[in-house]
Amino acid sequence: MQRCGLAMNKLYILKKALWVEPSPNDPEALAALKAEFPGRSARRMTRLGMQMSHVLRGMSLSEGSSIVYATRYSETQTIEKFLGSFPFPSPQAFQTSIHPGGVEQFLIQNKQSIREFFPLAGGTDLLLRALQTALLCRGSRIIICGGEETGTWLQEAGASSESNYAWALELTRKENAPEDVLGRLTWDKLAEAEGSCELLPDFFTALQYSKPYRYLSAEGSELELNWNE
Amino acid sequence: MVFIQHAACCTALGDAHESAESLRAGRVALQLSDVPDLENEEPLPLAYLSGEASGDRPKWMPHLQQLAEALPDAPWGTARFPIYLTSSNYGIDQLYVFSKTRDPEQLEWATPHAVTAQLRAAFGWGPQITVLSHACVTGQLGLILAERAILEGQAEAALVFSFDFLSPFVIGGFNALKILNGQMPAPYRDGEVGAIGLGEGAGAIVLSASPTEFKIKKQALFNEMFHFTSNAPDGSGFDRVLEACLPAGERPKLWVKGHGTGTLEAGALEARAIEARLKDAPLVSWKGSIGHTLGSCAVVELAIAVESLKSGTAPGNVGSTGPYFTESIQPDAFSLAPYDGALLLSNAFGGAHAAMWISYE
Repeated sequence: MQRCGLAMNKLYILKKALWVEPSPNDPEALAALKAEFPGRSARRMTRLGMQMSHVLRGMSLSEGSSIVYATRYSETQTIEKFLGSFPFPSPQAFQTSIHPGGVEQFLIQNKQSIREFFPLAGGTDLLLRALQTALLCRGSRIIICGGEETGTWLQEAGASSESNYAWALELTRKENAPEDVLGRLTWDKLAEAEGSCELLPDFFTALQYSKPYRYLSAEGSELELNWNE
Repeated sequence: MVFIQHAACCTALGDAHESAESLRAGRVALQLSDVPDLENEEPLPLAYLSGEASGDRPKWMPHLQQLAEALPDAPWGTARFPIYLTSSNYGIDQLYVFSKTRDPEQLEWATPHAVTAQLRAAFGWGPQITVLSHACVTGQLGLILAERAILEGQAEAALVFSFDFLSPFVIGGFNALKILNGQMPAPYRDGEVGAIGLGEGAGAIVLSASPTEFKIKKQALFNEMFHFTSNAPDGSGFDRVLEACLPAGERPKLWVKGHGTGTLEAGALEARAIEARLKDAPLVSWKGSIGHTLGSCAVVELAIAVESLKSGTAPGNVGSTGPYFTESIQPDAFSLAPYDGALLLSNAFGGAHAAMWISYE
């Protein structure tokens, strides 16, 4: 399909997984999440690491997969803890504060080697850049995922996420797409887009309810999420 | 094919040309320095760039300004001229200051997206900026994506812009892990105690399909995911990335700029893997002088490698004396005449490995 002389970019959705919190910092949701991991592991994992493990568990990961990981603030709670440990910095907090620890906690626990791993940071355009990166991946399957965790004093300062969440999509290119794909992502001219504060929350909601979603920027950039019946 | 159009950097030794010259002369930039924010009894090996904070800008902005001003003229940050911004620290120094002072102005530089917005405003860049962060292989991820964007026809030219500056956050972290200690680093030395040094650095690489004398032959990645801070003890991760970058049957005449931070285990595994696969290739590390520039090391060291290629002489394994893990370690500066390519390596936490093979005429 051609539009304005530019080929539309398209990836097909094979699987989706989400971690959704019913209300901000819900203690029961956190307890249920922790219960998914052996006690010793849960104590050493970050909240974001547990959330990312929850969503990545269902993906068809192999050494030949590619992962694109998008998180704006990463391990906020561990960063707070590490900063609070000065002048005697904590080695454990430093180790787990390092981007992209959220996904590495899952991969290392599962001893899952992987050839391509592209961890992104970024702002309101984070989802757009992650999709563009996914298109440059060479893996047989592309896992695009993301998530955030809340903070305390960093959140009060506006320097962390206001909610806890995680998502993952297993994607493939058109030529490999089986008949029973869940849906598709289509986009055009994302390079010109600045993104918006609502982009990622709205996209997440659309994933949650398997609803179609369309982002159209003032610059003419376009992103569509559609689901098969 | 993709070629290197522009390669620039700054280290504690100066710009790329000055850094290469100083390294060839064996000069060590790292100095044992006190870190006031740490309750630490011993000074640590650190290599700082010059500069003081002025106004509301971090002290490192003039260095980035200089790199940006020297870029080839292009509409950077637009669809055909994407930017890959790479760092393992971004504005973490400002976040550290914020944690102590709660000065809200610090937050304007404290996160990757805040720094990106500041750089866009300062340099007039467009929105097409991919912000990457994967510890010490970050720079190489940017180089790989930049190459692919050109190969797939998405980009005419791509800029990889990288910077890492030191702060109590990162110094304290590596010191807590005990790999940054009172010892000067001695890459590939078969000694009793391993140590790294940390250095500040920034760099800018422009890639495009227009031919130059420096061609990217291949880039490769491999992530072991064996442990957060150590490699698989059999060295398989080092071998896997070499295998992916150097296809069987090809026997190029290469010299190798290794990752070589000065840690014992990783240094031994890396040197042995290289010797096994590239028996006659000299191996050097420059981190014994400029320090480990963390997420920017691949970009900074590529710029120094390009300067070395232009001069025909590469720096040796600066800041380290034998006995070495292997016989392939090249202690002194050496002529590049016998070689037709260079292999540049970087590693990171999680057992991440990255490799880049460049050829030159």
